[in-house]
Formats: sequence, structure tokens, C-alpha cells
Amino acid sequence: MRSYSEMNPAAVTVHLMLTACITIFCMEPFLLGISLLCAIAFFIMQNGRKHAAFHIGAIGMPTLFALLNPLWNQHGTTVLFFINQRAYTAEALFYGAVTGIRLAAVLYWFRSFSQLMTSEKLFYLFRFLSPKLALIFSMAVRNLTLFRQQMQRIRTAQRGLGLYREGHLIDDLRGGLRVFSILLTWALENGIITANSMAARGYGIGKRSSFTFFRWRRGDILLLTASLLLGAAVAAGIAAGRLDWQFYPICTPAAHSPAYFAVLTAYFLLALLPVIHEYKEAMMWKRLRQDI
Amino acid sequence: METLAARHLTVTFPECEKPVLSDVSFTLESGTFAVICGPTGCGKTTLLRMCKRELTPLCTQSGDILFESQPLASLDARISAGQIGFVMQHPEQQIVTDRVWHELAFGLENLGTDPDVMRRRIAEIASYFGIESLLDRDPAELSGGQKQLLNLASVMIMQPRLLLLDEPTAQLDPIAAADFLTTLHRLNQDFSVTILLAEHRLEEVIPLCDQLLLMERGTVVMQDDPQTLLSKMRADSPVLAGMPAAVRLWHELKPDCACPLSVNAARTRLMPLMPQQITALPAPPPRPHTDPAVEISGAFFRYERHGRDILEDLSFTVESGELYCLIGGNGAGKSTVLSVLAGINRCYAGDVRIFGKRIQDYKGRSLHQNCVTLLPQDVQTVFLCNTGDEELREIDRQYSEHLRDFPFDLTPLLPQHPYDLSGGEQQILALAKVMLTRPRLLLLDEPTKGLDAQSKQRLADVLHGLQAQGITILTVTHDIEFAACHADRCGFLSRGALISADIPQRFFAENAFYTTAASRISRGFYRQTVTVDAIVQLVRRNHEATGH
Repeated sequence: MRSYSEMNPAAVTVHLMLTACITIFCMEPFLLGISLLCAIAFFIMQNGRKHAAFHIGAIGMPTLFALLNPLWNQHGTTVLFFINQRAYTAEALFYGAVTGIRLAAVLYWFRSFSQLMTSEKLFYLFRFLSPKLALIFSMAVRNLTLFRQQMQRIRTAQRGLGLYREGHLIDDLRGGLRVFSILLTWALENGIITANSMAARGYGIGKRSSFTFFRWRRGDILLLTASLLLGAAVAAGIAAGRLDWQFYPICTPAAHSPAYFAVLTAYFLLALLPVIHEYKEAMMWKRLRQDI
Repeated sequence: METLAARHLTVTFPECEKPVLSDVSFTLESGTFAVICGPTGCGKTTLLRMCKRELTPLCTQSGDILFESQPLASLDARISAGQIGFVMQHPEQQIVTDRVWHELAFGLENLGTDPDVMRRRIAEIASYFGIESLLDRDPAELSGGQKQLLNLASVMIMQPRLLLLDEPTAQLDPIAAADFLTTLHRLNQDFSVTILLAEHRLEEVIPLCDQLLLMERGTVVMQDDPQTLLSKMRADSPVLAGMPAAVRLWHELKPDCACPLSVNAARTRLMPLMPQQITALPAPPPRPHTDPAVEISGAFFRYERHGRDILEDLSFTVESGELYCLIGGNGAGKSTVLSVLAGINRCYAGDVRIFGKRIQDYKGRSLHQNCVTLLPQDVQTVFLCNTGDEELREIDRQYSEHLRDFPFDLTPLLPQHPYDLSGGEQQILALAKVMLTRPRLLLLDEPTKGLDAQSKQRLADVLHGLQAQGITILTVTHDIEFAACHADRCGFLSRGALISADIPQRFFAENAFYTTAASRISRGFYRQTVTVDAIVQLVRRNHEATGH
């Protein structure tokens, strides 16, 4: 009974990145519309009613792009009206709207992605690149926290001694510099102890293995395979030019071949995977409860 | 079978003429819980590090150290790292990663352990140490005691046969320290791990251990079970000051019984032998009343608007010239009281007066100008410069003049980097630094933390010296022995309010649980004897009375 956010981070990353990258490299209005709707559905599924400001900003964007694009884009043939003797064309308006939708969709995908990827999951992904790098990442995160804590402690201590006037620019600056310089000494001193502690536990004596709580379960492999297959299908369709639109001088949609619809369907499934997954789990839960 | 042995080990640091360790020999049978005791600077840390190959300092060495009859130098790297565990003093700095589970896995990862085995070991160890609920946490969020238990767990996960510990409880409060030592004892009993522990918090550990190694001037002078060794120990040994109250009492009185190690043993074996014609010392003369230095009445404080009150209707008074000890458990609000008095935090209700003036009427820096200063718990945070001399010069160029009356000779500390000084010396240098702001009220947060018995005594002497110059001292502490010996008055803080305050003799005599070992030993035999000295004095008086 895992929610999408609890699935293996590598599978989740592959899925979300494919979905987002296709959105970035494609200019097909229907595909982008599907992408945006699915992205919003996914975001709301994760967050509920929170982040209203984000929604307003992200949805406002297509409108803004649509209205502004014709001002500096003179292509297109269907003139709506003139501003300062410049044509304001329907094609440019449409193109702007599509660009805006693309941007909004990408924003939603990436916002959801950054919400899902806690430092722990990032750490897990780093392991694929290099286990050493992953350890350094983990240590860096820890040291930043320690550094900040110690800085706060020193500041408080110095305030308790009443050595520096607060709100006095030169004193503040002088104090800040000294705190920073002693922090460096402190960090070095600490580093030695940490290095000792690492050596004492056998760091560097041989090939390291790497531990993680994340495992590959059936659902993860399914998600990964589905993402790769669907993603490949869509990419192939785009590469073959099945989704090519012409916006200027006159808007010409892609040919409505069976391949066109197949690619759109494949992308729809890809983008909707999280929602499908969540729905399936919810149904399963309900059925199990009823059985009791 | 012997787990660890040293044979005529002599160690000299480069550019030093005198060896740090000279002709050290000892043997630890497997499953021993051994404690090294000795004054600061006798070579405890060096000896422990010599037993762990990865931490051996740069030095010239003669003699051998054997781990399970094999010379340390010839051990396989994996055995040396995995079979000999080492835990150091500082809980925070030993932690490497940013997750508790990762910290536990770290040692196993280094050995290249299979992930499935790691998963099982982590689950096992977390359940044994009771830290399962912490696995996903960032170690920085844990308490000091939890951090040190994590350090122990991440060493134990490699299933070592020998555990070396260098003052692991020095930075912990008494309850966390007792917890840690109990866990060690349990490990020793449950898995027969051989333990070698250097420690100066001997009260708790002496009754638990089964071997004591006494070190003096770089060599192990005695090794025996605690009872025998403590009976044979010279009465003028500097180590004695850090021993449990029962042992000190036995040494002072030399009664006809075996040396007791615990309060229980002292009560049942030693106290019944003591004469009981006179059961109380004459009450000390009451201290003449002086003007109040600190008056707090009905003070309330909280850190967050919707948080709980940390100070809740707190009222108490410290008279000027007093040495006042505020004691209480963790989270009682002790440090918060100090931060309020130092002007770092402000109460949302109630009246706080310092030398008769409301704290909010001190404008600008006037609260700290020749008035109040706070020495924080971690004294390292006081230092900002590269030498002791610069540190003092920063505040006052003519510091030597103003520190002429400072009751301690600072000269040897001045040329060194403050971070290189011992804990006790750091405390004293920090005290000297804050004294240069010429405060009339000195606030101290846990000044005895991590200090051995001698450094504590030295610190107490300095504090009494400052007191004689008319300075009021308010200190918060976990160290009830220190409070009993040196305070003029003690206050007990619980849940943000002052529960009781009195002179130590009455204060600790009336407490049943939160009281000194001497008070627990003498309860029912004598009245109001809360220090070993008081018991000894009373026994001598009894002898004099019967002698005449």
C-alpha cells in the first residue's frame, strides 16, 4: 500500500524526468495540454488545497505569454488589430499561449519533483553516480548544519558577554569577521576528530559497499518499465515528426493519422501514471477494508 | 584468554625528551570491564590510542601491544578496524553522516558488508539500543546522551571484541552519563565484550567495573580489582579526590572493614562502626544579609508564542556577594534563567531586577558594562583569537594590571591557542576574559562539565577568590557534589519554578533523591552531613568527646 511518493526514487526520477523532458522538447498543443492537466492533478494529489499562490502564478503564465507574444512577434497572417502600427496576430497569440502552457506544465512537474526528493532520496540517487560522492554529499549536509549551529552558539555567547554593540556597523562587521575566522579553526579541529572517528571504523581499508533502505519492489520495476516503454514510444513519435505543428504563417496542425493519436494516448498514460497508481491503491485499500 | 596486553610499552612523541608512556605493562582477560584512572596528563588518552592502530599518534615506540596474542601492527586491517572499537569524548564530532541509520551503516559499509546483512544488523542494533524511532532522524537533532549512545551503537554494530572508550561521558549530564555506563555494563555482561574505559566520573563506574588500572606519570602503577586496589591506594593520591564518596570516607577514617564502593556498602558496613554520641555539627553561622543582586518575581517566559512556558511563575533572590547554585534536571529551565538575566531573552510577564534596577531600564550596553556577564556552557564559544594573550588583550590592553588580583596564575596559558588548553584551563581562561569586563554579577552555565576532580577544585578556588572580591556568582549546574561543597545557597528548579532554596546543609539533608552521596550514606546516622568532610569532622568530634 505505497503511495507514489514512497516508491523507489530512481523509478520516480526516471518517470518524472521523462514526462517533464518530453514537455520541454515538444510544441504540440494537445500534448502540452495533457501534460499541464496531468501535472496539476498530480500536484493537487500531493498537496491538497495548499499552495494557492503557486497555482495562480503558474496558471496566469499562459495568459500572460499569450497576450505579450504578439507584441514582439510579427509572424502570422490573421491580423486581429494594430498597436502602434504593428500587427497583433491570432497565430502569435496562439503560439504565446502554447509556450505559456509548456512553461506552466514544466513548472508543475519540477515543483512536484523537488517536493518528492528529500535529501535522503537525492543521496540514494547519488549512489548511482558514485558511492564516494554520495558520502561526501551526506557529510557536507551534516557539516553545514553543524557550522550554522556553532555560529549561532558563538553569537549568543558573545552577546552574553556584551562584547559587541548590536546595530553598530563597524562592531558588527569586526565581530562577524572574527566569528568567521574562529569558526574555520573550529571546523578544522572538528574535522580531525571526525577523520579519526572515520579511520577508527575502517574508512578507506577496501572497497566500500553502500547501504540503503530503498529496495526494488515489483511496483517500482513496473513503473520503471512502463515509463521507459511509453516514453520511448512518445519520443519515437516526436522524432518521426508525427507531432509537428506549424504555427506561422498559418496554423497547421499535425496530420491526424493513427500514429498521432497513438502518441498522444501514450503520453497521456505516461503523465497519468501517478494518478492511476494512487487510484489503484485507494481501490485496493477500500476492497481490503470491505473484506474485513 | 587475554584480549589485550601491553609489554613494556614506552612511547615518546617527536621533539619531546621525556616519554609520555614509560614501561607500561598490563593484561586484560577477555570479558573484563576495566577502568583506567589517573590525574589529567598522566597518559590515559595516549595509552588508549596506542591500543587502536588507526589512531596511533606519530611517535617512537618500544615494547609491544598484543590483541588476542597478536602484535597490533601485524593485524589485518579489517580485524583492526572491526574488532577493536573506539569511542571518544565529543559526542557531536564523532558522527560522520546526516542520518542515524547511515551512521550505523557507516562502519559496515567500510568493510564492504553485503546490504542484506547490513539491513539485519542495523535492525538488531537499533532494537537493542532502543533507537528504532530515531533511525530516520538527523543526528544533529538528538540530545547529547542520544548522540553518544549512537556513537556506541555504530561501533558495536561491527561486533568488536574489545571496546576502548576515552572519557565518553565527560560531556553528558549525570542522567545521560549513568544511562551510558549502564548500557556499557550491559554490553559487557550480555556479550562479554572486553572494555577499557578512561574516565574521571568514577562515582558510577567503580561499582560496575571489575578491574582498575591506576596510572601515574605515564605508567600503570597498579592493576587489581577495585576493592583491593582502592584499599592499597596511598591516601595522598591525587586520584582519590575523584573517587566515590564511600571510598573517600573509608580512606579518611580507615575503619575495620573492607573498603566500600557504593552508597549501599558504606551504609551497611561502614556507618554502623562510627560513634554516634554527637549526631550533628553545630549550625554554621548565618550569612549576614546583603542587598539583593538578582530579584526575580513572578517571571514567565516561553520561546514560541504557542509553546509551553519554560519559566513559570519563577521567583527567587540572590544576595550580592553570594555564590548561589541553581540545580535541577534537564529541561527545568536552568539555562533559560541565565539567558534572561544576561538580557538575551526577555520575560513576557513578571519583574526582573538586577542590583535593584529593572532589567529593561538598562539601556544599550549598560547591562553588560561593569554589571552582568554570562559564561556559556560551551566555553569554546567565548574564544575568538589565536592565543590566550590576544584573547585578553582584545578586551583590555592593560589586562595584566586588571587581572593582578585574579586568583590564578594565568601566565602558562597565555601563549597557547585557547583550543589547545585542557577543559579546566579553558574554563579559567574564559573566566579571566569575562572578568575583564569587570562584572559585579557573574553567571555561569555548567562550569564543571567535563572537569576532573582536581580541575573542579581549582575552579572552586578561583570562584571563592572572586567572591572574596565582592562579586556575586550565580551558577546553574547538574553537579550536586560541587554545589554541596561550595555554594552559599542552593535553589532547586523544576518545570520553570523555584521549588526550594536553602543553605546546602539543610537543602541536601531534606532532599531524599536529589542529594549528595555523602548525605545518602550518613542519613539516619547523622543529621545534615552532606559532604564527606562534614562526616569526617563529625566522627573526629565524637572521638574527641569520648577521648576526654
